[in-house]
Amino acid sequence: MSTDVIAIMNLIGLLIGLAVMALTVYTATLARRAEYGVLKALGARNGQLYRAVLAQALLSVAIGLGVGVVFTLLLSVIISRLGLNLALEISAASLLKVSGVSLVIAAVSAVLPIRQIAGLDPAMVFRGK
Amino acid sequence: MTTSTLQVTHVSKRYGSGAIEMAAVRDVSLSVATGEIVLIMGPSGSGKTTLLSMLGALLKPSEGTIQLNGETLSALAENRLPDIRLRRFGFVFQDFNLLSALTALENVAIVAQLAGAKNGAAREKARTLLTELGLDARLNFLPEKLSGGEKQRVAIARALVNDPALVLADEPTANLDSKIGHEIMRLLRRIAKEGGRSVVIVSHDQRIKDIADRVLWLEDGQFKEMVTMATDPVCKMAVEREKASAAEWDGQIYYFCSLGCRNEFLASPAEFLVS
Repeated sequence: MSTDVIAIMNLIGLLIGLAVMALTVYTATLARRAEYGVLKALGARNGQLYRAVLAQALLSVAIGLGVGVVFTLLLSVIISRLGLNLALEISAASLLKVSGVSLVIAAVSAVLPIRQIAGLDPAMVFRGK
Repeated sequence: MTTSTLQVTHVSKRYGSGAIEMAAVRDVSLSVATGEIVLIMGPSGSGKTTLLSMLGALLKPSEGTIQLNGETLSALAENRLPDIRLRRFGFVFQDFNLLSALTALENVAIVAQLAGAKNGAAREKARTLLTELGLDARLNFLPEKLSGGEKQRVAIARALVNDPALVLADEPTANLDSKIGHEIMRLLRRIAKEGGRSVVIVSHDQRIKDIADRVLWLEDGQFKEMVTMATDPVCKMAVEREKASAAEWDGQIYYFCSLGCRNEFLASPAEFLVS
């Protein structure tokens, strides 16, 4: 029973984490919309901008995952020293699963604003955006 | 004989159609020689921005042709224009438009990379240009740490990094104080005269006349004879004497772009006439 509760909490935590991450990547991409417009005016192609957006999103998620794993490992050490009857373990399989899902969600969240980037009028830079 | 870099022939740009059709630029022709600086002035809404956008291959004309070094840009397919903008034009904007997350060096290098240069070569090119423009101590500064003049010099380095034939500048001195504005003007002149590039500037700034080889007046989408102009002593904008509001002070008539400037002047004339 308690294992089920922890599993459900795990899942909810993951979903919330993914939602926050998706929203962050999405808004970060949109926030740079004007700068992508400048690059288009200077001569960047849509394909080059898409790659930049995707690379940024995936790099951010990779860094986030790394930081998350380090914190989890630290937490497991702290918990074991506190003598609590709770074991924290990161299995390679779950790490792979979470990483995979995170990267896919990040890519999708970055790709969504790409349509807006594609539709940017490069002449807007002379009109003060 | 000077060769013509840019040739604009009977260019028009219309927006909308039928009853709501509006011509932003009407039958404009212009030729800019290599190494020449052309200043385009005119009131707000006269079509300067539309014309500049067409010259920079950012906007296609409804009619007419635009040629750069003999190649007709206005006839090119849309998908070829980014490459033309990247390699043939340098853009300098009023608001600098630097990328906020990149350093001065990276802001310049990224444009060289977009044109195919490898990271190392692009950074070296950017470093050389920025050093030439006196920014060697600012290479790794983010735009927010740079002054207005420094930002504009980074923007000019970015405009030059792919060795363009033509530099297009939109109000390049508008956000700069008088001293820095002069520095930027001298720099633009150097780019044209020593670098052998054509420079087209759109501006309200009367001071740029000093460095221009030719001044054109655009009004209602057409080039017109330079009318008698005056400089608003408050905002330093060029204004047409006939249409501007005027005020007399100390036996002399001054002209203003708006009643706001006129009132500000009349409240304290000496403040605006010192220099």
